[in-house]
Amino acid sequence: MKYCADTTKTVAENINAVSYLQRLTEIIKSEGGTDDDCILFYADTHAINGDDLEKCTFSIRGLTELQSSMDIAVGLRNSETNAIEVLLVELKLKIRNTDSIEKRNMEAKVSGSSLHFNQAPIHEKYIFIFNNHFIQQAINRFRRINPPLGGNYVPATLEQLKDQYF
Amino acid sequence: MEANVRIQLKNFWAVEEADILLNGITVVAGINGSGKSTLSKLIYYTYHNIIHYEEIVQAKLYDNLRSIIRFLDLIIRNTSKDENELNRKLNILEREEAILRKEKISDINHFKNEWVLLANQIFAEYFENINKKNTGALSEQRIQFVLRGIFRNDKQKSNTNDDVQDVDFNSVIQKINELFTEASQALTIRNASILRDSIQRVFNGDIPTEINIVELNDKIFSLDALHIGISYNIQNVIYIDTPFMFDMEHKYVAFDYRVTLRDILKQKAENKNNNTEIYRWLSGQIMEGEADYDTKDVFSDDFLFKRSDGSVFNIKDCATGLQAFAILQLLIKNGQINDKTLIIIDEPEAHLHPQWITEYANLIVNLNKATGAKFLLASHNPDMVSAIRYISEAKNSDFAEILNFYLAQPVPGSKFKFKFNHLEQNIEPIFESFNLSFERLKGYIS
Repeated sequence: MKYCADTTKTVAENINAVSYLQRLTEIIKSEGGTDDDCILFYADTHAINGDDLEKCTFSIRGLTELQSSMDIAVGLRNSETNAIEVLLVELKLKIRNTDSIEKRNMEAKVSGSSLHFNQAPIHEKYIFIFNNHFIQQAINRFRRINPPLGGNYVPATLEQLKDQYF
Repeated sequence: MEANVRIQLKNFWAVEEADILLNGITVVAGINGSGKSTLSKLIYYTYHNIIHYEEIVQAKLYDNLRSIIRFLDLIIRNTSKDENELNRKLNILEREEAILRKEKISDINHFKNEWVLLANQIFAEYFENINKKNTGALSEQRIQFVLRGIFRNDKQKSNTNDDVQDVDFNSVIQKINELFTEASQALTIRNASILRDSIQRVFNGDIPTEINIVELNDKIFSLDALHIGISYNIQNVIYIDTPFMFDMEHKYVAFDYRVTLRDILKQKAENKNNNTEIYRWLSGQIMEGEADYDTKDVFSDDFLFKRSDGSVFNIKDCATGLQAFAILQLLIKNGQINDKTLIIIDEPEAHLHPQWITEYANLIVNLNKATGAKFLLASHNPDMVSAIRYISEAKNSDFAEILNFYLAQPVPGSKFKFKFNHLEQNIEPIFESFNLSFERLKGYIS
């Protein structure tokens, strides 16, 4: 499954979230990414800004308070089967210490965002992005959290995200 | 970065190369067999022997004098005219021997004169008793046999195969003079070869091809140096490797750093530091009690733990993790930790619950900050490495200056040789090494 601009747009249209489509590099920068991080992606790559989507729609959905959400949602397409999925990505680029990562917070983000994208299947892996100074500590933390996190919670770098899905 | 203390080392057992900074808290990590403990012990003994150089010279002098002391003992035992004289002379000899063996001699030349005088007296009385026929003379054959033993080492040193020729009592006096003079000169010039020999003795005759101890850019010791400098930055070095040292009788203790540590823990400081913030936190919130050496029972050589509810236990019966904290608690209380102290801890996480690993790391960071004491930790525990890294950052604005991490990594082409790579404050490569365990686990369960 790889990123697909058309799928991303269709996913956004299906939930009336076209206005929350934003350049991926802008979202990365706003979450603590550097220029070097942004170079990894094409400038016209667009993604749904998950936080903006939540901020603007929670009251419409009858909720009294903001739900946790993943930072990014993009459409994926399997070029052979044409199957589509929504990939949820959380950017942890500002983190200074992986000890603050908690299972319930991560699960809350995934479940909060999943509520938005009920029109298309959610990709089985939820990606949490760390910079190169913290990725090994994050891998260690994810593996040692108890009760254990499912194997579908995946710590990765932006480079790995790009290699795997873009 | 200016190195407060820098230790450079090449080619010693598993350690191919290490260049270690001790500016505050230094953590060395690596797999089993990568040389962490070797490095720690080498640094300990090098510093310990620099600091205790005078005692090493004195111990060497004592070793060299032992064959002469045995000879004097033989003369006294065989030639004293009665039991009173025998006991009197033996007591004098034992007292002088005990001073040499146990006490720190401040004026070695004065002590030399005492020994020369003593030997002269013993010999004079020997001849006097023989002349007066109070006692029978020892056979010349036996005397020569013992005397040759005294001088045989000299022959071996000079690589001559001839056995020692007949020697007389005057040669013994001359030998005493020479040994004391040699020791006196060694004290004056601080002979680096004596330090090298002392390190080699600890490590079964092995020594690195290179070892440099550098303080504030001044080299105070290297293998090719003639003299040893004076250590300004470190004047007290402590090695901790297991809380089980509380449960070891001296005579069974294999490593003398454990004996040294036990002795240090027994010492009562004149100015107790049990009112410091760290001590109160440690005793009140973490240990809920205080460790102390049992001074009430004169037959005991044990440490006690007095719990906050008034119960008293032999510390050997307490939780091992508590014993680990007790070592540092006693060092704080006894005033052993200051800005000239280097504390080396091999696997500080051993025996500790993860929660207490974090508390132990917090204690180390606080002690370093409050006292300026330097810590060298050999660890392969993610919680310890992480806690040291982030508590230091949270509590010390200058943590980048004082905190250093190293990872032992195999030298290309060799499985058994390691280079200690400097990571500064980046612990990612250490975690990458820790995370290899997940791949192993995956291999076993998939």
